[in-house]
Amino acid sequence: MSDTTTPAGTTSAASPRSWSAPRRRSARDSGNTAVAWLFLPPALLLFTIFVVVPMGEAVWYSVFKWNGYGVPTQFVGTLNFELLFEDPVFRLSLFNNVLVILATLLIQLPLALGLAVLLVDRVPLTTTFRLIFFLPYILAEVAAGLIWRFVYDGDYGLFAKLWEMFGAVGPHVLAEPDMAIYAVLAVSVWKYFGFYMILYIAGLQQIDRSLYEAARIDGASRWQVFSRITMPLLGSTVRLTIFFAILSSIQKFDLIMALTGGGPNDSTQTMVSFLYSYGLTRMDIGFGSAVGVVLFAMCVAFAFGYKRTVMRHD
Amino acid sequence: MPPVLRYTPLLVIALIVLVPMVVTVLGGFKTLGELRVNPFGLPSDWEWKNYWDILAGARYWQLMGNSLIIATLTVVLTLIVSSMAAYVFVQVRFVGSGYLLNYILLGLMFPAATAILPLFIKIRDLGMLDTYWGVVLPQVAFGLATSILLFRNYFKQLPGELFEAALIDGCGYFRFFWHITLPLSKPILATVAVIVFVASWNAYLLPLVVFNRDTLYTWPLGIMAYQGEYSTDWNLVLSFIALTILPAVIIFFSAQKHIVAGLTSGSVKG
Repeated sequence: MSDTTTPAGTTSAASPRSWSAPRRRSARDSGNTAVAWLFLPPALLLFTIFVVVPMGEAVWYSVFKWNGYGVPTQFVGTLNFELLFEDPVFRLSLFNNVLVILATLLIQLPLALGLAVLLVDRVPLTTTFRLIFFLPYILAEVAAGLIWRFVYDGDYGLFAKLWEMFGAVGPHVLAEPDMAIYAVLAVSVWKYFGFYMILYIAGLQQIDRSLYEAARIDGASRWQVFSRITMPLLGSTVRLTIFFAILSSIQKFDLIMALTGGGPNDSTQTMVSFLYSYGLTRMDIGFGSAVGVVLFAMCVAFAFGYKRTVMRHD
Repeated sequence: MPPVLRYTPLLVIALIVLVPMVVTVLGGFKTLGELRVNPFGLPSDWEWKNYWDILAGARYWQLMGNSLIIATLTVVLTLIVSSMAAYVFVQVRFVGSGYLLNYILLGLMFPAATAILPLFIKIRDLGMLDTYWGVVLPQVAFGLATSILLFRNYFKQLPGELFEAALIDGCGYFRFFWHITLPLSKPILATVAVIVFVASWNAYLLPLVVFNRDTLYTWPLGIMAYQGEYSTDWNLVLSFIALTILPAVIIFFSAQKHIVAGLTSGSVKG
């Protein structure tokens, strides 16, 4: 039975239902059981085998030193975690993930919101601009990363050519350890702002237009309208987008591989690219699993914490 | 709002979005020498050879074929498995139903990357390295939480009277699912299919871990390998990039309403 049955619907259906209820219920129960036994196991099995068990195993492997062959026997306790937090590259990866989150929160989402405000009104070319801004989102991160690897290329790239127009020598942006991560951040913003813009437009469209008219009649300024009407009513959308943006920032990987592969000198590693470079390619399963466990703990802690506090009323 | 204030930022940002993509496509038509002196403008001689060589070779089609097979298998399997599970969660009342649903919805918080090492070991021990299934099955599993949630929300909105009436007429659970629920659920089937297809088509980490043989490579792996091989021949790399993003762009423009709705609904309702 659906939860959406209206009170009116239940009363009208009540009298015929009570008539032959016992007989039908028994027929229903057998169909019930059969459908549950046939329809649920595929999902439960797949989810258990490929999601839950590997996650549990990650915890198990993370206390061993293991190259992935045979069974793990060399128990090392918390050594992998100690090595991890002492590792300067991992610390840098963590710091880079924080930078990604900051770029998302301080540049990407405000930009998306600003454009959404500009494009929510029915003015000429609205649809065209929306489509253009959404376009980078449909590109794979790998493709977007390689396109920008060209843009940043010191010999052929657009970026270097722009510098040369002003008489300067074009930098090899992605080869400079101090600069590369910021170049990566820019691409990340470029790729995803359009997606969040579409979400904000959808949120803005749900706001009652009459509120704006009332505010205009009362002589409210543009800023007052934005801060007193738009922002509060868009609150749940904003909180949700922050949630998704942070969770996906923590997992940044494909873009890194396509742009820099984590280099130069590990200056653009993120936690996942660190996991890949130092855990998987070296078959250091215990150490890599420890990275996975830390990553997982962060995601879960953030997800629960955020839902309990910021999204409490949504 | 004065048009200048509105359109200036829009135009500037539209340029920043479009220029890299347009330059990529055009760059594929240039010789390496011309690319060096003229990266922005139209090519003076349209060098069709770059594109034709890729289209005439087997490699491009093999990459596209692999990606298509994997994405299609992932979509079909996800639609079947998650619509069935969601149907049970909505239509059948049984002890522990809520716990099982919450168990699967835990998957909303699992980033696939965290368990990638044990997953690799598991796929290896199951003998599925270098097979399509080694990518398809984990992809289905990691997409289940989102798709079951989307199906469940949709099934709950279907009128309950329909189910009552069908039961009275002697229609069982299975026939109701097949003849009534699924035909009424075309919009959500399309939405889930779009989300899952795009995720699979663009996936990089899992195929990277599972595939060793390059005849099985999906296009993101193939394009990275190509870039590695021809790293300094940017004109070739650019034409290869342009050709690999072409299918996505064509499909996007031909069905943009559904695709935008599909890709964003996962987050709005999730």
